[in-house]
Amino acid sequence: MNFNLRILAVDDDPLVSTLLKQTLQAMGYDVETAHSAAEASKVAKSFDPDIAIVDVDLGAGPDGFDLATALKNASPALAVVFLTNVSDPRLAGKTTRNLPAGAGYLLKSKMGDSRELGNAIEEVARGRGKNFRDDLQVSHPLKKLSNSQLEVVRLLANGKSNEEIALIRGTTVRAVRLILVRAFKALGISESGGSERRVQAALEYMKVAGIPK
Amino acid sequence: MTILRGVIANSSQFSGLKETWQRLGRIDLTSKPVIISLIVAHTLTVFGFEIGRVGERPLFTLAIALMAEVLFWGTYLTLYALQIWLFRDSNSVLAKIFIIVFSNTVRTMSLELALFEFGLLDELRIADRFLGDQTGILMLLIGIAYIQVVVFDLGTQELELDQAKQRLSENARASKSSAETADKLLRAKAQELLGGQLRAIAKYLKSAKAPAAERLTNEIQDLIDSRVRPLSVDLWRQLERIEDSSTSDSGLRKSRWPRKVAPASDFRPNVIIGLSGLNIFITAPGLSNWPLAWSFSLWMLTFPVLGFVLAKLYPKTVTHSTWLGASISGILGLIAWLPSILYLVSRSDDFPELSVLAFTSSSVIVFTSVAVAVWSSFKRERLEYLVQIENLNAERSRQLAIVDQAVWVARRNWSYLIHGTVQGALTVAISRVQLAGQVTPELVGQVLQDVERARAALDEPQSFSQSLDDVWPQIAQTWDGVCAVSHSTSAEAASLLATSSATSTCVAEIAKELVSNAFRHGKATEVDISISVDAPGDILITSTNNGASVKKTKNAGIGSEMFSELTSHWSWKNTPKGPRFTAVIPVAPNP
Repeated sequence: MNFNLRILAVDDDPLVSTLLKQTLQAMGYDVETAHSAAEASKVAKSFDPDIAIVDVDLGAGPDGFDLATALKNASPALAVVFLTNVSDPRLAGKTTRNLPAGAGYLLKSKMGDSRELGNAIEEVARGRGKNFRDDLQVSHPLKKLSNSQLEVVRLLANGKSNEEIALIRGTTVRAVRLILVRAFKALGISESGGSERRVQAALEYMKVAGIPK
Repeated sequence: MTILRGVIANSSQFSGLKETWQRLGRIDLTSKPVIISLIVAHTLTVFGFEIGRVGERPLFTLAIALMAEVLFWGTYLTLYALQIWLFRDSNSVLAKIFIIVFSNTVRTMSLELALFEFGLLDELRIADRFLGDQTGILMLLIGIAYIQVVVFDLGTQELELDQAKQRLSENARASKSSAETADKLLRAKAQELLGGQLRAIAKYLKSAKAPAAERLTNEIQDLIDSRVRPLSVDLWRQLERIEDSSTSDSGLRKSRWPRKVAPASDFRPNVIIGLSGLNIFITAPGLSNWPLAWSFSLWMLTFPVLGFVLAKLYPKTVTHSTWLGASISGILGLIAWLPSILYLVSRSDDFPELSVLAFTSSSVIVFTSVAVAVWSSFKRERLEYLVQIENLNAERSRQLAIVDQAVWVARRNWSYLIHGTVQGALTVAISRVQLAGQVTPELVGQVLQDVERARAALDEPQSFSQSLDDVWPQIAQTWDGVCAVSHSTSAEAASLLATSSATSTCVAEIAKELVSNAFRHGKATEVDISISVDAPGDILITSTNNGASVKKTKNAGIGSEMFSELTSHWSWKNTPKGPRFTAVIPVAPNP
């Protein structure tokens, strides 16, 4: 009887999921792959994995957070590791509350480090996912921002004007301006930058979070 | 008067009267329309009433009337100056009514006294004519106030029209500016994001002496830097078209005056008799007696009946300039007033002055008919402006919503391309190198293949549009066993969505978000989504679920932000069966 951990690897990019499968199999795990949330749900029913390694962005269709929520609901004992380029869930418009309890969060750059990846899988499977939370450890300028400042900068990077941001957040334009001034300060953007400050802040956001959708 | 003012001010039923009352306060007693109207009204009463009732020495009567007129204007202007000087308030309605009524009383008394003193009248009739004179002059003032109200509103409307145009231009400019920023930032991000990975791969391939390394990495860099753009050429054209149409006047018609009106709808017998009837009825007893005044009032009832028939008979499709329309309205008034005139003339044997009343009452009716027509014409102009502004706003909002949709889809596609396909391929290449630890020809070949895939994806970007038919099974499958998703799409909506891949993608995104939100926030176990056609060219999404009620949170979050961006409007409502969501999405036809 085979007692290897069973891993479901979910990534919409076939190249990534194939490489991941090869890497994990080489490490002695039983691995199945899926390229969408729907396929993963289907595979999970027959494969009954111990761990799901899920990308946050799964292309068209439900995203990684949706999938993790649905999988955990169907099978509460399942451990979840997010393997993604999105360095902070907040940058994808989610909060840490969207992460299932005990989930790990690894950046894709770790994919080439089999030892680190293996450790993470073993620990998360034992319910110690809090030790593998790159989203909490990664140091980037956006960490200095409060939730509301981050939200406003995200909208800024989305090409929104102050008026539009105020409308979306249900606040005044003045409040948005004040939040932005504090956000610029926290990001270390010079006060004399004028309208370029907006571009700089948006770039800072994109450096860390990627392109907002 | 205080009670009357209170009633007018507090009752919504009197909103028109309240408006008129306020407008009366803003009438400038020294303005040209007021002065000319008073002179014309006085001249008409002199020729039609005073000279007629005196019957002899018309030139002398005219001279006395001129003297009374001078006294009127002396009193009028003095009281006006006193009002300004003493109270520094030129807007008091009561003060204005007092000035008009008092000056007119001075004119009436001086005229009557002079005519009596010079033997042109047998007896003084000051009390008899007092009410008729005062109601007449107040009616004139109210008429001017009414017309000024609509002229003022029309002016305000023109201002609003200009502001609406300005807002639309600003929105179009903002949309273009947002798109430009998005384009610039997306490209900058792609350069930054992929540049590091490309350099790392190039370094490895160089050390492995792979011959195609430099060419491949340079090609990718070139594609990112200058050839692949996040926003399509079609989208830029669309944005420029909207900006051009917003800055030109083509969509808006400026005020033209006099404009075309159909006099039938401007001729309102009930309003006309309501405004002028009191003055005519009050004048009648002074020139005859009360029993005759009452019997005359019964004849006055023929006016609205006959007027109604005349208005009905007049073809509504025929329009004229305001002046011709107002003239026709006056003529209709005169015809409808004819039975009353005939009655007055028939009784003039007993009361000779009734023939004078026949003339003056006709003048009052004609004046009121013309004033109502002009007032109505301005009011209609105003309403047309409102409709024009609303239509224009709706159309431009729709256009901007469609552009926002396109920008959103372009940004998402770009994200999939760069983050997904291209970055995925490069990440795999780097990971292969890291995992392998040593350089082998096989590994170099795999890495080169990965880089080639990234180059191919950039060279011919794929379309990431999704059809609803593909997305429904994915949503249902993902949430299977957790949340049951049912859906329906009307045949009309399906064929409309088939014309637009962008809108189809947006509807799919919204459907996905609706299910996710219903489970995450409300722990719903059943979600139903139906898609139909709202107005022509607009898709209506309605969703209900059995989850917890939606709380109105200040921070809207990514879902509602996306809804705002992709829809014309959307709303949540908590119903006894659970939260209900509705949204309208304009359909952006494929370019």
